[in-house]
Amino acid sequence: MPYLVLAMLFCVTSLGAASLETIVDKLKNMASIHTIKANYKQTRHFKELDFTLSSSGSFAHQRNKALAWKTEKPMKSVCIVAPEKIQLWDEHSKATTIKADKFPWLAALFKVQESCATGKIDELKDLFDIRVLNEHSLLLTPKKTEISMFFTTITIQFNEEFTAVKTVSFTEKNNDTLSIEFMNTQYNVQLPESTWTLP
Amino acid sequence: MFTKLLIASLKHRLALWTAIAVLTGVMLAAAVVCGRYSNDLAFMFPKNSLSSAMFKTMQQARLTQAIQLEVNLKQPNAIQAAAAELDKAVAEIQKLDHVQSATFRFAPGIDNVHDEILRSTPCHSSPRILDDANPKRAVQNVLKTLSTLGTPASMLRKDPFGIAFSKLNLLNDFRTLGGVKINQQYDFLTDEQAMRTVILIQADFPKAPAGKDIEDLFNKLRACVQSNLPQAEISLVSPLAHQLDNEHAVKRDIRAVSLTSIVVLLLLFVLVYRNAIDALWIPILPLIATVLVTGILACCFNNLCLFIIGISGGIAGLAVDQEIHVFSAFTGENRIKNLANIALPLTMSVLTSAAVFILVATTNIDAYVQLGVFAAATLLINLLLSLFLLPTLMKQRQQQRLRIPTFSPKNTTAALLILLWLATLLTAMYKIPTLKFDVAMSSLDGVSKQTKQAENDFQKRWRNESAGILAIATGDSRDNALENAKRFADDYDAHSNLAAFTPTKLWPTTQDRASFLKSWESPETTKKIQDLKKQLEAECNASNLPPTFFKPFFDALQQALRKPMNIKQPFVFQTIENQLVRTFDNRTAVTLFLPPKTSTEDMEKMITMTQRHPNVAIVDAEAFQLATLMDIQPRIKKLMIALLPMVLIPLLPLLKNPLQLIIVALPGLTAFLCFAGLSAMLGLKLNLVSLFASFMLTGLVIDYGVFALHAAQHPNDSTVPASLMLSAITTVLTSGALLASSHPVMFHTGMVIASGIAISAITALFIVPAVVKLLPILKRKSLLNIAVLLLVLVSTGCASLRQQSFPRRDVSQKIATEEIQAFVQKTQAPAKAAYNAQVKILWQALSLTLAINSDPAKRSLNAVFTAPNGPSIASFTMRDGKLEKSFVSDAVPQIAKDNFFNDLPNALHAIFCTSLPTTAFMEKPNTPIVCTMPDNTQVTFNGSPLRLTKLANGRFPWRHWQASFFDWDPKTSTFQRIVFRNYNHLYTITLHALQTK
Repeated sequence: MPYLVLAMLFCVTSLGAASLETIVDKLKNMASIHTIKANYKQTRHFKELDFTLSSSGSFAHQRNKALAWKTEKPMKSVCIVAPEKIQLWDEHSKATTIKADKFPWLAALFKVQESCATGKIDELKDLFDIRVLNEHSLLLTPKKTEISMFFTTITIQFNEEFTAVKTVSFTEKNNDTLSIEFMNTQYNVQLPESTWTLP
Repeated sequence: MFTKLLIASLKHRLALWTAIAVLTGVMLAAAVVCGRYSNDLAFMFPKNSLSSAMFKTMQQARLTQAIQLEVNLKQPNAIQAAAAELDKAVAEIQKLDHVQSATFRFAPGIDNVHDEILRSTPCHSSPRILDDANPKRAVQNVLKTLSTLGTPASMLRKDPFGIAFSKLNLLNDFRTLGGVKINQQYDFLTDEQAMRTVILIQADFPKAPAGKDIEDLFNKLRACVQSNLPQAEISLVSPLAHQLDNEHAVKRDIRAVSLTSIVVLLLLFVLVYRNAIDALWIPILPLIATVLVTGILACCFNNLCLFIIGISGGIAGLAVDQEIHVFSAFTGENRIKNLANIALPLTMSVLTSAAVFILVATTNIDAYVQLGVFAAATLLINLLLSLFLLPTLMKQRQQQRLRIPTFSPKNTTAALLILLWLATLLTAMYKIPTLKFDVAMSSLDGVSKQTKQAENDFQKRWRNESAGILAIATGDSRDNALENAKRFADDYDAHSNLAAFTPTKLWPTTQDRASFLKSWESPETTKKIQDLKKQLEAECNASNLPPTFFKPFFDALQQALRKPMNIKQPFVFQTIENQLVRTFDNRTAVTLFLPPKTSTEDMEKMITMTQRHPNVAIVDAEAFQLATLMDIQPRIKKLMIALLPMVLIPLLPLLKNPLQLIIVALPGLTAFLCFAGLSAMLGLKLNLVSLFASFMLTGLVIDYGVFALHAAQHPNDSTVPASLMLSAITTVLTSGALLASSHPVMFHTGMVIASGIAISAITALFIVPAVVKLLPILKRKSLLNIAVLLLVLVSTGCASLRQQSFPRRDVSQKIATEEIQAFVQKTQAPAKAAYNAQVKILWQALSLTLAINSDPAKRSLNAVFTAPNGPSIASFTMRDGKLEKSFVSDAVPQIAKDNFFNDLPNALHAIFCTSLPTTAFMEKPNTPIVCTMPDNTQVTFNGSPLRLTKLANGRFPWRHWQASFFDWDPKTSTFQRIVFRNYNHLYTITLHALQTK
């Protein structure tokens, strides 16, 4: 089930678009983006414990290929998500691969992601109620139990140019929050093949 | 005696008519009042057999009443748009009569699934899961997962050891093994494009429904959907559709066959009997015989199979032959004498037929018991009616209506005919080895092409290749059925690398839940939980996480243990269990899934396993086919062995010498060989129906042999050829009408009977006279001896094993004794050896590896048989000639255990521990030297120096076993090849020595 949520997020972060009304126009800018490379900082706040946990690393995405999420701190780990499988690695345990047949949502969500990347955001309307939060932010409320059982809302904030996602924030059912901030974003850079292989 | 009885009947005809009329009336009333009739297919399986248990379980689970209603809206995403209409249609379907349930949506109830699973941990899992809990790994895993892209944290805090996840993974097994190809984005069954959906319906007819009821239900189901979604394309896939198609096919065919029979009988009446009104009694008397027998059997059997009465009625129809013979013979001035002449052969042929049917009744299969008794009784009663009642009903006429002279060919014509006949037989025999046998029940299914096509299309659209094999466990209560399912799954898991899925893996049986709960409440477990809590707190501190990070997990556990009565089955588990557990008529059935089979051995293993679990059946066509084969094969073997004496014994009063036996057997033998050859040539597979039809044919074709012999003995009696021809024409035309049938059961029955009778009649009318004509010219005795010898050789299968050949040696008794003693000294010492064992049982072969320690002097051995891939198949320990320990793997089918493995210790003892003579008792001064031991074992020595070449027990044709020894290696003191054949169980083992050093 965590992989399901992970893949959902993947769709959302790949969207990288503007407000709902203008999003179709803005997404046209995204059509020329084939690869994205960025650093991220993820902050979790456990409300009940009044405790904050931060992690950071890098992220890479190539359209029609895969997404790599590499954590450097507090521990090294890698997660590579492709339509046919998810690969996981961390410094304490051996690599794991989960194939799409064990995770049937994977292929479906990749399809959604591809639709988003090509500007067809209607696909997301089946999964979320989407409304504009402010000039650069969208508020997504899950429609599907598979997502709403974990998150009550997801907020996406775009950069000024509407060419990339600046932050994504999740609110869990117990009011814990998760915020991801993307930095040093680069577009259409050549990503080496090693990006898609586990250490 | 016969003449006296016949005259008495003729004199007291009125009394006889009255008696028969009253008896018929009484029996008709008995058949109507006392008879209980059923169409239950369970009658078709041997009692207490594997196939019968499988069929019964499937019946109890009402699998035959499951319906899949597919709705195609022909537009992508149309199903989602029409979900409300579909909900309405399903609600209407649920209200229909004979519908137990209809499912469109699957309420997943997963919003609180983790919490529900964790809160119910003490019920669904043993506290032993805590033994594997590793606090350090749990913290590392949390850190890693929290760093990963957007994973929710709340569930990690509640489940540090992955208890809920391991349960949820089982759902993945369920999804994979369930093998339904669906789009998982929706809470209903739909395809990738959300264009089609399937509504699962469970019908609940109290017993096997009539076609009309099925059709009615199908129409109502269609109407429910169409009234809500007029544009929908609807298709129904269900075993009930098979039943409907079969009923339609059988009804249509019966109408055609009945019409043909009426036309044939009318033609017979008009053309042959030239409007003789009394000829109408020819078909009426078998009908009276059928009524009498039905009445008797209705009083004797609790339940009569309707289809067996139908088949038996057909056989009674064939009994019309008897009336035809009597009608032809009872003419002219010497009509009583004429009839008396054919009375004996007629009686003998009927007795033979009855004997064959009685034999069929020994199969311990209810349907065949009824068939055997019904057919035999009908034939015997019909014989009495035709011999004593028909003459009283006939007008006196001077001349036979149809006269056909006995065929009397010239020598050249006879020789040509025999050559042609032999060539036909040889061609047939050449083709017979390619004959194929199909025991699948689907080969007897009269389902229409449209239904079959719809099923194939449905399977392609909805079925994944990963789909597992369905099994059903039944019980007299929900708990009992679940317990049976659990035991089977546990047994399967213990013997397989892959795991079965049963709902009890999600939510255990009542008994297991109570046991788990008790263990969780024990002081040891309480301490274990407290220790884990402390360890996790320490690990959290070390990793800069709050020590109370995993508090939700311990809170949930403690809450559950504090109020165990409040623990509820998680909604997801409940939903799945409700889908897989069904109750009908106080019997509960649980569906479980086994991983897909990788080989036939896999399937055999599963079937063997069901023998240990009588309430479990594997729902798979191949499994059912294998089980049927395992059940039917030994019965067929017994029938085949018993057939010859059962056919011959009633004929003994007629047969004065073996030559007559051959003549009587000729038409039948020709019919079987030609039928088998023709089937092989046309690529037709023999099935259970054609097999049992062949047994019936055996009883029917003997008549032709008997009358052909009678005609040969009485060349002037011209009524026989005419009667034979008439009988054959009526039978071939009526049964031949079945060839136009689309139903395989009727088609194959017609095929066997029509072709068999036609060939028998031709042989009886033309070949038998030709053989009789040429016999005096041939050397009768030599021919006969050769034929009998060949027959005996083939039937006993006692051909000797080949032996290693050596040049003949002239040896004195002294030298022979010295050489034998030297050989015995070497071989009687304890020895270890390994062999590759090739085993042949009838037409089946298997390869095993044998490791053996033998001590011939002590008549002791230890032997282990392993499969080529390693697992132990069997092991035996014998001390002083007696079996001390015996193990045969459960993977070995029962039939192989009974016929081969149980006898294997004796075979090994014979090969490796037979006491050899130390003195050569020579009858002649040359090799080979044969000594007979006190236990009647013949020991043969040959070669230079002398070595053992053969052991044999019993003499031809009553030989029990024989072993031939080849390629003696003096260095290792072993034979490189040993061939052992057991003539009682008909198996051969060939041992090839393996290098062990």
